[in-house]
Amino acid sequence: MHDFKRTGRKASAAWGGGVPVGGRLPPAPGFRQAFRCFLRWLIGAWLVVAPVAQGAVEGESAVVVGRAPTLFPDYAGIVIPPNIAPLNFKVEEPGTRYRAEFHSLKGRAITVTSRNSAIRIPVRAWRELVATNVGDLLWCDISVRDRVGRWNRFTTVTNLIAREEIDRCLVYRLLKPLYSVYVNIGIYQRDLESFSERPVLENRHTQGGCLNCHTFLNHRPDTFAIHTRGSANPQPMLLVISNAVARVDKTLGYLSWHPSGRLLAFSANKFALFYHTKGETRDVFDARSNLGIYRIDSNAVVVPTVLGLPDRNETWPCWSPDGKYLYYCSAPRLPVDQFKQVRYDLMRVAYDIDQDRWGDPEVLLSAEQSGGSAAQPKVSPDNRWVLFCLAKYGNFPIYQPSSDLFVFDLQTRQCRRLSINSEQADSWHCWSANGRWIVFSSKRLDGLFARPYFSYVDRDGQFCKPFVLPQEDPSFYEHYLKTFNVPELVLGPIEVKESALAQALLDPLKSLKPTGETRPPEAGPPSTIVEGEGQKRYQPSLK
Amino acid sequence: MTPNSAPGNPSSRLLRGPWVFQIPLVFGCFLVVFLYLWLRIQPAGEYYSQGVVFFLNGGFFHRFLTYPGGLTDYGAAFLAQLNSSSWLGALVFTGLGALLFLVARRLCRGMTGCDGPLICLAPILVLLAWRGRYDGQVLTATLALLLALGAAGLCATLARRPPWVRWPAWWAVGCLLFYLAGLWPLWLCLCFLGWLGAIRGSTWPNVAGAFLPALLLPVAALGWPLPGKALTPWGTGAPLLWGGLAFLVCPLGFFLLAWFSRRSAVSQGRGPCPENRPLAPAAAGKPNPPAHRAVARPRLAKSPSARPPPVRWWRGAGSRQFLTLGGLLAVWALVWGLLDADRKTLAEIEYRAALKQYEPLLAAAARLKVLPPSVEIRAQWALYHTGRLSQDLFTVSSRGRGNLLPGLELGIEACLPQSQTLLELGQVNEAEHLAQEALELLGDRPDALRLLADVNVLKDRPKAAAVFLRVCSEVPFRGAAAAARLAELERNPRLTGDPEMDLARSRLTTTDLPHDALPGEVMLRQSLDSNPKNQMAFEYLLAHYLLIGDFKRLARHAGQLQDFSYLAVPRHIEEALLLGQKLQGLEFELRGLKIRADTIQRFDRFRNAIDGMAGQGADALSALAPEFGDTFWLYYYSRLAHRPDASN
Repeated sequence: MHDFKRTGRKASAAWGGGVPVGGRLPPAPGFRQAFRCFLRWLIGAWLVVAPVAQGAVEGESAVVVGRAPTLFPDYAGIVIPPNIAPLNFKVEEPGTRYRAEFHSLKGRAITVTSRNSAIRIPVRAWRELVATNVGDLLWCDISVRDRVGRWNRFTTVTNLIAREEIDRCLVYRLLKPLYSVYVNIGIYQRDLESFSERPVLENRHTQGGCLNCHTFLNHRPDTFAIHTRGSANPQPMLLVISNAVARVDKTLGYLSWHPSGRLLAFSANKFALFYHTKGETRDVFDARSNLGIYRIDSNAVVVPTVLGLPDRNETWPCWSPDGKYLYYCSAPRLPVDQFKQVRYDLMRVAYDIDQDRWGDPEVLLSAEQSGGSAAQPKVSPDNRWVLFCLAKYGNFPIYQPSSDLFVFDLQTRQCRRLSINSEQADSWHCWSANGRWIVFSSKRLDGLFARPYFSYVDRDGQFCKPFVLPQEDPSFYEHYLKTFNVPELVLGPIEVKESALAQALLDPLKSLKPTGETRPPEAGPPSTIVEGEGQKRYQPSLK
Repeated sequence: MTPNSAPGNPSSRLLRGPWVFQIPLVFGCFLVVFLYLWLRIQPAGEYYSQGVVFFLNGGFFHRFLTYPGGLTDYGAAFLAQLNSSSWLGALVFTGLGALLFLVARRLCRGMTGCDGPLICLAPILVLLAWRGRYDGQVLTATLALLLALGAAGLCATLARRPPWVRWPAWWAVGCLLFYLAGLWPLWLCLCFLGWLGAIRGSTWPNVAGAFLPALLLPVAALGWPLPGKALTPWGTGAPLLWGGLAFLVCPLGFFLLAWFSRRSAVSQGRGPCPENRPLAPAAAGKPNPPAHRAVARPRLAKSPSARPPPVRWWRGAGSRQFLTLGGLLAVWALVWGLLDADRKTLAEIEYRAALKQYEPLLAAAARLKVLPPSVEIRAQWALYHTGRLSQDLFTVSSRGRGNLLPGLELGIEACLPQSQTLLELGQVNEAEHLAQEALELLGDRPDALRLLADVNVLKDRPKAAAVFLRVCSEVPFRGAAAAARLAELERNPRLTGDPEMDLARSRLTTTDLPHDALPGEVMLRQSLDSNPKNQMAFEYLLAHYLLIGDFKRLARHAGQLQDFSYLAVPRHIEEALLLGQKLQGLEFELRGLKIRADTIQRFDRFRNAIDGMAGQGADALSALAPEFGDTFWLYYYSRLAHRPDASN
C-alpha cells in the first residue's frame, strides 16, 4: 500500500511487469517491509503450531505417573462450594515447568502453566467453570516437566462441586501466638468468593485494647456483638443491631445470640493463663464461671439460678437455632492444682422466651461417658446435630493438641468422633447458615498456627475431607505468622465502618449501662448500675 | 557577568575562586563522616541492637502505603538493613549526606545568593551527632529531610512559571511530599516557599493561595487534632529534639547567612553576596532578572556612601576560610564528644552476642559501670561459654541486678537474651514463651524468628520452624543463612547432627511443672534432674546459689564438681566456701579437690579489711572495690549481708 501511494501503481508492479510512471522503476520492497512480513508469518506460525507442538510434545513424551501429585495446600478429593474463590495451590513435585488443566462436564477447561510450582487459577474462568458444573465433579490434570524435558502426568485430581453455596464471608480474629502481652490484634472479614480481606476492627484504632470474641445473629452481617478487653473494668461489648452501634458497659465473656435477637447468653469467666515446661506451653484454667442473660430489649442482665450453680462452672453458651434450648458446658469447680481433673459435661436447658421460664438442666454427654472434657457446643441450623470439641481436660481446646471435633446426634442421642480430625488441635467450629458447611480452626499444618478449614456436611451428618481457606498466594500459609481465631461464617460483608466501631468503643455516642443484677459467683453484693445523666437510652430495633 | 568572573586565564580564575577551598573541605568532611561512622559508630552494632524489621515481600511493603510518611519509613527500614555491614552502612549514610549537601547548597544559593558550605554541611553533621546517641530513627529523618529539601528546590524552580502552572504544581508537590514523607517535611518545604515568596515580593494572596491547601492537607488526611505519631515520627524526647534541630538548621542557617551577607554588603557599599547566582534559568522570552533580585535590595539609602567601610578582619577571604575551617572543626569536636559511649557499648554487646563472640562481648561489658538486665544476662551467658561463670561472675553481677533468669520481671529487653540461655539449658517451653513475647512486642526481628525456629525444631514441629525460617529468609542480606537452614530442615526435620541442636535436645526437660512464673532455681533444678549431665544447668545453679548467698546448697553441690570433670574448685566457689565456713561453720566435702592457698591468703586480707571497718557504714565497702571488687566476698557484704535471713 505504501508503494501504491508513492508510485501510483500496485505494489506488485514493483516486482517486474508494467512500465513505471515517469520512466522510473518503483523502489523494490525495502528490508523493513520484508521483515514485517516475515514477522507476521512467524507469529502466525507460532500461534498455530505451538499448541499443537506442545500437545504433541506432551502426547509423545508424557509419562504417566501412577500416583497423585502432592499439592500444597491439599485440595484433592474434597467437596467445594460453588461460590468459593479459586483453589490456588503449589505442586510439590520437582520440575522445571508445571501445567494444570481444570475441566468438568460442561464449560471451557482452564489451563494454567507456570515456570514455578505455583498454580494460580484465573478468577473469572474459575467462577464460570464452577458455576456451570454445580453438583458435578471437577477434574484437575497435572503435568510436570522434568529436567530432561520430559512431561510427567500424574493421576487426575478429582473434587466435587457441591450444590449448596457457603456463606459469602468469613470473619476471624488474627493474632500471633500470644502469651501475656499483645500489641496487634484485629478482626477481619474475608470474602470467600474472592481473595479480598478487609479489617472489621483493628486494635490500633482502639488504643491497643484486646478484641475478643465476635458473634453474629443468625449469620447476619448487620447484627453482631464483639467483646473487648482492656485494662479497666468494665470491659465493654460492642453491640451492633441493624448496623447501629452501641457500647454496652458490661463485662461479658463468650456470647451467643438467641435467634429472636432479643437476648444474648454470655459467660462470666475468671481465666488464668499458665504454662507447662513440657508439651504444649500454654494452658488456661477457668477458676469460676457462670452464665447470664443480657436482655437487649430491656437492657438488663439476669443470672438465672439454673445457669449459675454455686459449686459448678458453666461456660460456652450456645442457643439452638429454634431458640428453645441453651446448650453449654458444665464442670465441678476444682482448685487450680487439680486442673487436669477438670472435665466438662455437655449440657442443655430448655427455655421459653415468651414466658421467660427455664427448664431443668439436662446432661447430654457427661465427662464420665466421654472420657474427656466438652467445649464449644454449636447446634446445626436444622437442630439435628451438636458439634463440639472434646479434649483431655479443661475448656480451652485450642491449647490442647488432643482437642478433636465430635458430633452429637440429637435424634439418636449418639456421639461420634469425626474422621476429619487431625493429630493437632481442632476447634473453634461454626456452621454455615444452610447447615451444609462447617468452618473450624486447625493446627494440623504445623502444630503451632491455627488455619481455617472448611468441610462439607451432608444431610446424614457425614463430614467430608476438609480443605484450608484458599489464598491468592499458594504459599501463603508457609510464611504467615498469625493464627486464625474464632472463624465465623456470615451471609454477607459487614458494612459498619471500622471508624464507627472504634469510636463506639472510645467515645461512644450511645453507651448502655445495663440495669439489673449480675451475680458473679461468690462475689459481694450485686452492684447497682445507673445510667449516667444525659445519656440517651439506646432503642434497639430488630428487623 | 557571572560571579567571580574575571578577565584572564580561566584556570587562574578557578585557582582564585572559592572552589579551591570548598572542594577539598567538603570532600575531606565527607571522608571523615564515612570513617567516623564506619570505625567509631559502627552501624553493625545498631543493626543487631535495634533490629529494624524489613522483608522483601509485597505484604510488608503494603503496610507502608496506608499512612503519610510510610514510604520514607520503608526506605529507611531498607537502608537500615545495609547496616549489617558497618562499612556499607557508613557508605550509605555518607551518600545520603552528600545528597543532602548538594540539595542544601542549591537551595542556599537560591535563597541567600551565597554558598555557605558550613551551613549546607550542618544538617548532616547534626544527623551524625544524633546517630552517635544510638536513639531514635535517624535514617527516617535523613530521608525525610532530603525529600523536604528536594521538594523545596523543585518548587523554587517552578517559581518563575505562570500562576496557573505554579500553584497546581506546588500543590501536587506538597501532596506528594506529605504522602511520601509526612508532616515535618511538608512544613519545612512550606517554610522555604514562604521565604521564597517573601524575597520575590509576592503578595500575600499569592502566598496564601500556595500555602493554604498544603496546610489544610494534613488536617484533611489525618483529622484534627493531629495524631501524635504524625507530630513525633522519630520518637519522643531527645530524638524529637534532634530531628527538629536537623530540620531547622537549614532554614535558620540560610536566614543567618542571608542576614549577615546583607549587612556585609550594606556596610561595604556593594551588592549582595559575590557568589550570587539566580536559582533557575530565566523563562523563555523574559529577560534575565538582575542578579541582586535573589536577595532583598540592600538599604543603600541609609548607608553613608561617602565614608569608606571599616576594615574588619573577618571579612577577608582568607579569614572567612579560616573561620569556616575552624567552625567545622568545632562542630566535629562536638559531634565526637556527643557520642553516647554507653549506648554504643550496648549496641556492640548485642552485635557480639549475635555473632557469638564471647570474649569481645565480655570486654565490652567491662566498659559499662552499670549493666542493664539484658546485658547482665548476655555477659553471664558469655562467661559460661568461656568457662568462667563461677570464676568471674562478680565482675559482671556486681554491676548488675544479680539476676540470672528473671523472666518478665525486668522488662521486655531481657526476653530475647534469656530465651537464648533457656534454649541452651533445655528449657525449651520457657524459651518459646519469652521469644514469643519479644516477637509480639519488638516485632518480627530476625533473631527472634531464628530462635523460634530452633524452639520448634526441638519441639518436633519442623513445619512451624519452617514458617519462621521462611519469613527470616525474606530479610535482605541475611536471608541466605535462613534459606540454607530451611533447606537443611527439609532434608533433616530434626536437624540431627547440628551440634547445638543435639546438645540442646540432650538437655530437654522430661518433666512438667505447671506454673505462671517459674523461679530460676526451680527451673535449673528441673533441668539438672532431667539430665544430671547438664553442665550448663549445673553451672547456672551454682551461680544462682552464689548470687543469693545460699552457702549450704552451694556446699552440697560443690561435692559434685568432679562429676563434671572439674580439675580445680572455681574461684567463687572457693570464696563462698571460705566465707560460709567463717560465718556459719559450714562443712563441706570436695572429694579430693582443694581450695588454693592464694585464695585463702586473699580471704585473710579481706577478713582483716572487713574487721577494720567494724562500725563503719556500708559506704566504706566501696574502698575495698579496687582489690576485692571481683570477689564473692565483697558482693556478699554489699548486697546480702544485711538481709534478715543472712548470718554475719
